[in-house]
Amino acid sequence: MAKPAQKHKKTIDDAVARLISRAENARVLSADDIRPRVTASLEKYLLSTGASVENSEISQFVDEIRADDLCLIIACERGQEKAWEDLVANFDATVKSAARKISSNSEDAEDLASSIWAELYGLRQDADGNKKSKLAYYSGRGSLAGWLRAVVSQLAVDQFRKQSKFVQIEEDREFENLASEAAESNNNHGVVGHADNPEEEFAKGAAESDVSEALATAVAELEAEDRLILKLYYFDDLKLKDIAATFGYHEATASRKLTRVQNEIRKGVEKALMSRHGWTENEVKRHLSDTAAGLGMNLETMFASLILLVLVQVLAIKTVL
Amino acid sequence: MELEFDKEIDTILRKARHGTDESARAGHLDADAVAAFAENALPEKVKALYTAHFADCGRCRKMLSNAIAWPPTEKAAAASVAAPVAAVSSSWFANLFRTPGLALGLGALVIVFAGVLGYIVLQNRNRDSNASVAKTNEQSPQGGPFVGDTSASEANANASMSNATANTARAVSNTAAPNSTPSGMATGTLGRGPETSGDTVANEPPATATEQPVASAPAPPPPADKPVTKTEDRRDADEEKAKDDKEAAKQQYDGVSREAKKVNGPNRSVGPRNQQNINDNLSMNQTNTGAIGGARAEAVTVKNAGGKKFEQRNGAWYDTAYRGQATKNVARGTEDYQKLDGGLRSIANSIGGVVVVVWKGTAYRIQ
Repeated sequence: MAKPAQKHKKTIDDAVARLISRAENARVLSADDIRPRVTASLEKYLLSTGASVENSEISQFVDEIRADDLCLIIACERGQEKAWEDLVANFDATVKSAARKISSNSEDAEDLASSIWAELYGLRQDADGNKKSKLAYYSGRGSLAGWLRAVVSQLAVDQFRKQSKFVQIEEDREFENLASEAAESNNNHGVVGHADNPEEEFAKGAAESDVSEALATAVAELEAEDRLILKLYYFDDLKLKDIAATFGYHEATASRKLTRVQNEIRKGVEKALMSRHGWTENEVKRHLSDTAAGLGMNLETMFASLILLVLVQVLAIKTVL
Repeated sequence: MELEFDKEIDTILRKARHGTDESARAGHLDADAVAAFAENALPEKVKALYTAHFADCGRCRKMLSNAIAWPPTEKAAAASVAAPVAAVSSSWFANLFRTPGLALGLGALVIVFAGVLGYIVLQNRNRDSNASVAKTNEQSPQGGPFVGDTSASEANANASMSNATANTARAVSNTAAPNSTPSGMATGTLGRGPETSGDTVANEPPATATEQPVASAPAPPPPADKPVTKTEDRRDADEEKAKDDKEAAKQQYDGVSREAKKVNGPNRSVGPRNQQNINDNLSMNQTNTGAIGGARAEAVTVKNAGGKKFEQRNGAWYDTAYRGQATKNVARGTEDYQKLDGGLRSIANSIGGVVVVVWKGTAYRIQ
């Protein structure tokens, strides 16, 4: 990481002084206590791109740091008991809540939360005998609660990866599900092979594979932000409102972006199927329509059945009354 | 928010989401970077770099989605402390209803279903109410005092007629004995009029002026009629009775006149005192005759309408459910009257006159 230039030193000192004055409880910390953390944060997020940085950008960056949260963490690192008490009292619920999200029961959640706190306190030691604490990684840019949730999430994700037996390339696995879902919806006739027309089943499976590959290609060709929005929405089931807040724009903007992404994917899939796999336009449209209809048919049938059931109940009640 | 999604691509992408494995890339982002990105707290330059990483790294993207999706501390703490199991259940529940529009559709179905049920119930209630009022109207024709007669009113009519004949007899004796105290007798005879309400008497047309007290023995009161179940038959019977009484009274008057003339001898003019007695008795007889008519009206003191029973008191019809509470006065033909319930107005129209009805817990005086 690039270090701040000498010309930025005064700007950084002034910004640190303002940070201390902004904090409601600076926890008896001095500018010398805070400056190293601020400098590290600058190196990590502002200077890492290598481009030249203006003093105004540095001032704005430091002014956006959450002063109270950063002072609390630094005070905890320096061993202030009162700071630790405040940290646990104010954020234990956050850690436990996040732990419950990834635990199957409350007991496991309690254990996980305890291990998180131990990790934060630095009970582990490195090869030199120094305490290893995750507190050193908090920069103050985001909220302390959000950082704690991310710590718990990181632990959960790493645990899942360790427990998982098969680790595949993400895109391949996810788009491969297209064909597997179609096979399952046909009561695995395509797998077992006891259909009346095996050739038709084989052709269908091949078509599913082509569509899966075309879909993966179309997604890979999207812009990074569009790809991330698509995956957060479809793969992680996030709401557009939350996605928009993450990127800093309105929900309507996220909606328009997602609609545009859908159109781009359609064009990419159609182009890939016709150019690489030799499909005709009619074959593309028919297959996409059939695939979507087949995947959604069960739900629509259920919904229609439910409506019919309600109507029958209404007629029955009317007759009785 | 309503989105114009490409349904086919949307469905295909949703089905493709079930892949849960993460990529094995190196150089993952730490929790601080993920948290800062989730809260849009990074400079634009580095944010673009992290966006590209998140788009291609499943692990980091999963951390990011958790950081975005997990609720804020205060709400999460309260919810988790209150019901830790609910967090697990809600995720299962969320998965069940993840399909877009399904929750809205089911909610709309519930609303439609409730609306249809409520409409059917209201229709049935209105139908029953209208049928009840129509039935009441058939049994209780509008107007007329000769509705809802009872044996009590018949007894009153008979008593009135008895008094009338008794008064007639006294008037004859007064005429025959001029030395008697006319005022006392008049008072006595006048005082012995039937107990009728002034309104009733006032509403009834006065008897003919030619009627006079009889000198002969009073005719026996006509036999009490048996109560008639049908109101129209009863009215006809009463009218015939009234006619008979008038005939009888007229005959008595003629007899008295002849007697009076005989008593007075050659002086054809009746003494002033006697004339006064005659006049008093005449007016008394008029009162009595009016009372008879009033008794006829009084004979019909109960009416039924709209499933309610009304009793006539002091010229007004009172709902038997009325317990003397304060009434809300409404005049027919006004806007307030039009705002009343249809059933209430039907009752008021069928009863006629001044009606005090207890309707839905409120006492109305409709006039």
